[in-house]
Amino acid sequence: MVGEGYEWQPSRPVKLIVPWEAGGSTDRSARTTAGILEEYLNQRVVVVNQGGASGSVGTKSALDANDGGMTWTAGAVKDLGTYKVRGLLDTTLEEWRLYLNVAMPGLVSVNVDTPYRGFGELLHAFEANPGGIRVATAGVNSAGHTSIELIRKYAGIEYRNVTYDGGNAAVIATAGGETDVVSQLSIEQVDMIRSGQLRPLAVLADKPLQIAGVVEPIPPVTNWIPDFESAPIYFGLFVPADSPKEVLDTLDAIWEDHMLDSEVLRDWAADNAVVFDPAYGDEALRKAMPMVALEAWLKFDSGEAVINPEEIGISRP
Amino acid sequence: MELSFDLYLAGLSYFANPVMFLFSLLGVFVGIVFGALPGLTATMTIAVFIPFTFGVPAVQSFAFLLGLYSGAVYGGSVSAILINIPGTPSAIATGFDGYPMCRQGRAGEAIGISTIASGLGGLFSVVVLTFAAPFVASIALQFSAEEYVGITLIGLSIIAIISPGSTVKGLMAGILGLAIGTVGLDPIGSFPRMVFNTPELFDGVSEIPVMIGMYGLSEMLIQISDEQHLKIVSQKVKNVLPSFRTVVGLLPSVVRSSLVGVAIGAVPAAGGSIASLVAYGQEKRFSRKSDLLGTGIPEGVAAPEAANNASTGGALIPMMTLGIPGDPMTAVLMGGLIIQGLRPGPMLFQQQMPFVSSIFISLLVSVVFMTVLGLAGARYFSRLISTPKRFLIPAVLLFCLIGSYAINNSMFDIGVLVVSGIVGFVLRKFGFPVAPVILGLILGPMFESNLRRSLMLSQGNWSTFVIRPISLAFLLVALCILVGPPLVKLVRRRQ
Repeated sequence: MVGEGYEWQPSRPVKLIVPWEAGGSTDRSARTTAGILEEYLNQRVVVVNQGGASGSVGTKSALDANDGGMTWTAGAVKDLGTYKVRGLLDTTLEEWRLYLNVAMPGLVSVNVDTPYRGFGELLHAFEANPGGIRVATAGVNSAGHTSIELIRKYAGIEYRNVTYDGGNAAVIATAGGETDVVSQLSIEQVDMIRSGQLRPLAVLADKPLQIAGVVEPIPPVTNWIPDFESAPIYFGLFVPADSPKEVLDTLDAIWEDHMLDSEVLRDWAADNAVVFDPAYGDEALRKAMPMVALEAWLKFDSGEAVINPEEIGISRP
Repeated sequence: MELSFDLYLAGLSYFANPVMFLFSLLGVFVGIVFGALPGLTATMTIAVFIPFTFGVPAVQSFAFLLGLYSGAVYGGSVSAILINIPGTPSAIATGFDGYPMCRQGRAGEAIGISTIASGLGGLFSVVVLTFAAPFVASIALQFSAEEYVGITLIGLSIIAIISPGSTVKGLMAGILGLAIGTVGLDPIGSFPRMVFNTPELFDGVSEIPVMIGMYGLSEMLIQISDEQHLKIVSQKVKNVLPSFRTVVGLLPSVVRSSLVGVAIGAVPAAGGSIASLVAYGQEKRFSRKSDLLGTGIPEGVAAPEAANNASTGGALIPMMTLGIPGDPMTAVLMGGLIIQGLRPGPMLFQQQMPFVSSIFISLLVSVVFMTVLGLAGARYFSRLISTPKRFLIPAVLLFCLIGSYAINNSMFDIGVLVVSGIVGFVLRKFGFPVAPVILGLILGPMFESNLRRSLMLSQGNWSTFVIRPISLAFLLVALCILVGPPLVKLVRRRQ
């Protein structure tokens, strides 16, 4: 693959700051993407994990680096786009060019020993027993909490919220039977689904989700709630928008030529139960914006926002 | 959970890579060196080195860390025997008979016995760990938040009785740890607590820089402020290898003490130093030579050394199966697991069995290396105690700084290190132990989130803690630990 003639050939390794701890979903997706990029840049992409404060510490380092496009960051667009609203970091999406790799949908699963065979049955059970069914999430800031709150809004159900220290702990608690339902991200549940300890009922998307190693595709929530507007969480690499034009042009070209149909990334996505959906630039922004708006206004409504999302051009969904 | 021998063999394949042995050997070597240097404790050694294992695969990093663990716990005996200053707290009791032996010109013999006893104790603990841990994990799988409340409560109440010196000071230090543990977004409602608008504090105070500060930096500050210079009696270390008959003669003591060591190690929050003291006390009661204890007899060296090394495997049981550290050293080791993305707890045995089994094997390998290195290198390790402070202190300080930064590439953590180093220094100067701070810091958040989760599950009904039999049993144990000792005292006084 040497010498494909991209305009920008970095003379030293590029630094990719992953603002979360090693081994998490952001870290793994970023490392996979970095590996693909190295091949076409003919240069190493060095991943540095710098966690803390919902990813804002590492993102700030990338923002402050100001070294001509040699330092990038990675993560979920919904975090990057709401740091300012949440008062964590003074940055908006305009300052970044987005290079998305995958989307991670929320997934509603139940412990295999529960009687619920389908999502419809679970909804009936919620209605029959308001506040009685235990739902595990990783806390009010987690994707799982956003998912179950959306279902509550659309279906008018009541549930018993049980909070865990992280998505994996919530998944394990449900697999172990301490809770009945888990609504965390698919990537966090995939091992337990494969080992038969969780039964997936619905993916919060409008298309079914196919997991490698699991025969039946998981039906979309829209089968039961047709007007459910899902907003998948997009992940990707973020490059400062004021980087030299050759840097951005080269990355655009690599995404167009290789990432959009990368077998490596596609396989990784299927293995980890996430949706392969690369995009860059304006298209990326368009895809990721619904979740950013949802997140920003959820924070605003719960009193966790320090500014009105309107102020930075995020209108109420 | 199904137990099959295949699971244990799963970890063996990692050892096809000679690097594993290299890491283990390196760990043991560094561990003995640090353990033997007076003032460099085993806990500190592990804390300082953990950040350097970050870039290494988990199995290899643990081959190294467990080597450090075994090596440092053993190494502490060298300085205890030669200068009556335990290199690490778990060697406190070793000096009781080791130093008298040294003064009788039998230093080599004492070191040899300590090495063999440590090796046997370590070996015993590996066996217990290997068979007990998967069993405990399979029970722990049934535990819900309520049971974890009970276990963490046991750990927290043990702080009260383990603290050397004043119990009140130990409790105060424990409360300081609990307070530090509350900093950050609260685990259930994400409400910011004591964050002072500092985003770096949102996830709480990072534990590893606190540990390095409390154990490493503060110790160095103490060493700087202490003017005392060690008077070292030059000793020829010879006749290190004990005779077969001596070893056989020591077996009863070693077996008794190993049992004590593993059992005490397995109790959350109680570790090697208590194990070795209890083992020594036990010798006083059961040994045929009990009147000679303290005058320099091999039993007095073998018992505490077998016990403290036996506690290593014991302490790993609650850490690996429940995610609750057995002593300050395993608390630090747990940090090493977490930065590798591995969550200690019963699920570790379900999902990462090859890794778990590699831990068993690594510990075994480290015990073997420890014995061999200890016997072969006793003469050289014994020279370490005369290392000038002017080399030692700057080197360790540098390790502390690099280590704290490297964990998260964060300058903020350097600040955490410096603050906790100074706080640790002040605490120790006023006679407060630092181990309860660390245990409070680790157990506190665990206790809080499980307590609140239990109440979410039960919809605010506190009776959930006494309705569940195992939870009730744990609460009773915690109660006994808290009120037992004062009650016994009261009854004795009446009599």
